[in-house]
Amino acid sequence: MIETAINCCELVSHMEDLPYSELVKCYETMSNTTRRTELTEALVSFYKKTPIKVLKKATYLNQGKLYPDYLGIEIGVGERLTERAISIASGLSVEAVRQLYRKLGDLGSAAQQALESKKQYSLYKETLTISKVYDTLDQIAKTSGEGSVDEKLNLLSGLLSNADPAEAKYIVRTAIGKLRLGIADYTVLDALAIAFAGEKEYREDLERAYNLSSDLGEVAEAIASGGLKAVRSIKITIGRPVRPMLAERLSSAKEIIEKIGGQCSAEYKYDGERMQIHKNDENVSIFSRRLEVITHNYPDAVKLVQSSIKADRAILECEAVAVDLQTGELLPFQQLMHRRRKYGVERAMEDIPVSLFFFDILMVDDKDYTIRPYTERRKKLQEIIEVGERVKVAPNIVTNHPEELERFMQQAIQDGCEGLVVKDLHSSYKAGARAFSWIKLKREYRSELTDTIDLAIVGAFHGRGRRTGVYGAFLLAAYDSEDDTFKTTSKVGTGFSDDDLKTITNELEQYKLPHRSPRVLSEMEADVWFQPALVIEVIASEITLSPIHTAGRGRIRQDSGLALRFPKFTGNIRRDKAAEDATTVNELVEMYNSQLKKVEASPEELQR
Amino acid sequence: MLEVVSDSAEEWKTVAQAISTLIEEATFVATPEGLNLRAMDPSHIALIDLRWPNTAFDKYSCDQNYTLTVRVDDLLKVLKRADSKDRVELKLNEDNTLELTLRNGYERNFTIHLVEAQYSQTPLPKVTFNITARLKSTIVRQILEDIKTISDHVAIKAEQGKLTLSGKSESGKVSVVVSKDNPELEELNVKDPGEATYSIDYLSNFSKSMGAADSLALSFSSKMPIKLEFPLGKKGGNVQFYLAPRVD
Repeated sequence: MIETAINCCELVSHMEDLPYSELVKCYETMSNTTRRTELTEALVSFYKKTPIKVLKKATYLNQGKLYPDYLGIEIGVGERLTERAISIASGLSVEAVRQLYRKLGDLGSAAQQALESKKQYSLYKETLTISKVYDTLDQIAKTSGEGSVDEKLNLLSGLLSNADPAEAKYIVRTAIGKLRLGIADYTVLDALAIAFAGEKEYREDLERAYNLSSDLGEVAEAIASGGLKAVRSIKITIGRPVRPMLAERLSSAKEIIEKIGGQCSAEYKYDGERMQIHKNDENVSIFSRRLEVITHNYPDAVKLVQSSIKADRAILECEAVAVDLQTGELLPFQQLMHRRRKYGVERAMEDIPVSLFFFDILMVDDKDYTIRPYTERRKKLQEIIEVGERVKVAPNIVTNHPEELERFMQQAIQDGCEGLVVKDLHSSYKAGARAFSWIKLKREYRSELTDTIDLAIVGAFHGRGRRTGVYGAFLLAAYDSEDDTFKTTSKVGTGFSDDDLKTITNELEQYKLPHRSPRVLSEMEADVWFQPALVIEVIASEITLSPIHTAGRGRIRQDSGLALRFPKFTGNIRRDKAAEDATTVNELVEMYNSQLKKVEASPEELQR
Repeated sequence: MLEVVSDSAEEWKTVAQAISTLIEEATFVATPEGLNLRAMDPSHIALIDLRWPNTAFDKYSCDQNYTLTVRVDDLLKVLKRADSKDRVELKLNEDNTLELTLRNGYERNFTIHLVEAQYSQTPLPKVTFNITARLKSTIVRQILEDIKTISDHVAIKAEQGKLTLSGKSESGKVSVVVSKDNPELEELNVKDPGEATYSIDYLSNFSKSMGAADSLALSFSSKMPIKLEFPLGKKGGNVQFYLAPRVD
């Protein structure tokens, strides 16, 4: 690096601040080690040097952030703008900076090299401090509106002009949100415990405070300024998300009951978005499992909370699940992802409204419920929730029989759930912890369906909303050639256009019966019954075991039939087929067996 | 109380233009002696230093020291509405606004909001200048345009009796010699010959913004910052720019 020829004076550095280069030294040490203990040591020695006043800022910067995640404030500088800032600070052309970036694959390293070959001196060099870097990035984050691009550019290039090459590397990575030092929250807590409480043993206190506040900066400041006493006084607070309790996973009902040791409560585990809801009178905030604010994605959920929670202030947990308006059946998780699109929320709300299934309560009217046992929390939850069409408490059973658990599991799958979460009746809410007081039970195998299947319409359900006057959903059956009967396997309401529904409703008129046909075996009650005649083509994600559908009952497992999961009409009415030409029960059983695959948990699932 | 009246808007227009080459928010310091401003661009490459004594105004009343920060763009927009012959009255209001009245036949009254800003004065770079020169400002602008056709930066070399300005790039090179027998070079004083390179963009923005000035004084040393000094009007006002060199 070329020293500025006219570095005649360094502009004042603030009292009670620390040069940013100290933080950079710590980063360099940490990026050169693979051992966790060395990571911790580097952090400890950094923390010991850091004045209390900038401890909070330094802690956020270490995470590549300016605020705790839940505030959702990002620095938000684009790569193009950063390239321009590097160009201004280094005197290299934008094209030259871009070439460096392409060569090195990291804009931070490009900034470092650009400044090493700096073509432009500056009049003064200001020693960058932690506050200076933090405050400038904060200004960049808060600048918006007309002219904000130029202002962000000025601020960032100003910072880089004063940075030495190594500092520039980390400033750039922080600005574009790619610091990625890989320091786990718990490593920071270890380091804080050692640096300020003298011993790692106090980590537990820090961890508790962090799990309840989700704010490492606040915990850092508390331990440094007020010691363990200040840390212990950090409490669960409305508006600040609690790190969620997580479940362990076991694959058999028997193992689970043994692990929990007898009586347990099994709840439906929905395939939706887990939400932590904070209600403060009419103010509702919703946090995702990762503690991001997602309130704006779910205005309908906000309304549901406002109208159905009978407590002024509360923190609750639920799963939000998309629901098929016609069948009332749950839709797969992916459907909710439409909500993430910026402008699609209003449409998404109408097309795929959500239902909320509440399963836990963390605080009610300033009383901390996380320390209360499960049964007490569940009781309180039922008390304060006014159950309605779209607001429910997750169904549960209390049992100590593995078979009962298995049956409930099948019921859950058939109802569109992923499985069950089995809970220890006496356990408290362990924020941020994965423990065996909650255990997930999911299926070990699933049978993926790749072919379409043709099924006979044997019943129908009246349409609602836009489908008033036509049928909204149909009961479908496979043909069993062995006893010449039709056995149900699906209730389907998706995939139909308005025209499809009109046509099908009209065509079915001639087959209408006053009661169920004796050739149809069904445990589900349809609004209207038909003689099996009209065949339609459907696709589905898989074939599952079902306690209610009659097709293939007893063939795979006693008391279980076969059902279609997430079925959808393809648009083809098979007029070329008679009801007896529909897919047969034998074919369904064969499909189930041949396509059975072991379920591997996806990384996201493990996270959830 | 601060009230400043100028006979002509021209100087105000120049001041606003000059400041806008470097910064977006400008803090003027008003003292009973006059108006001053000193600021660096965000990348600390250049500095502007304005000195505008009370004698340069038709009326100047200021009872104490004030700092007033404005968005340069706000100031520019208002002054664009002024003709060079307009009379400009500037008044600091108690509600933290700046009142600008333009008079010429009819009267226009603008009020712009001041910006809250922390102000700390930047010291001037301590540089010993071995080379000083005075040139007509038109020729400087011409030469910079000449060199800009080839390069983004200009190397300025001073020897006894002449200045050589040159530029080179992948596309070619260009050089311009201005010697003492050229009337456009009014003065040249070389204590120690030297050479340094500067960004043309900055230099040409400075000289364009000060286009009303007839001549300018230029000072530099080898591999050190350059200072350009322009008179502001004819009653003692003065604008200086400092620019850090490039590596070459």
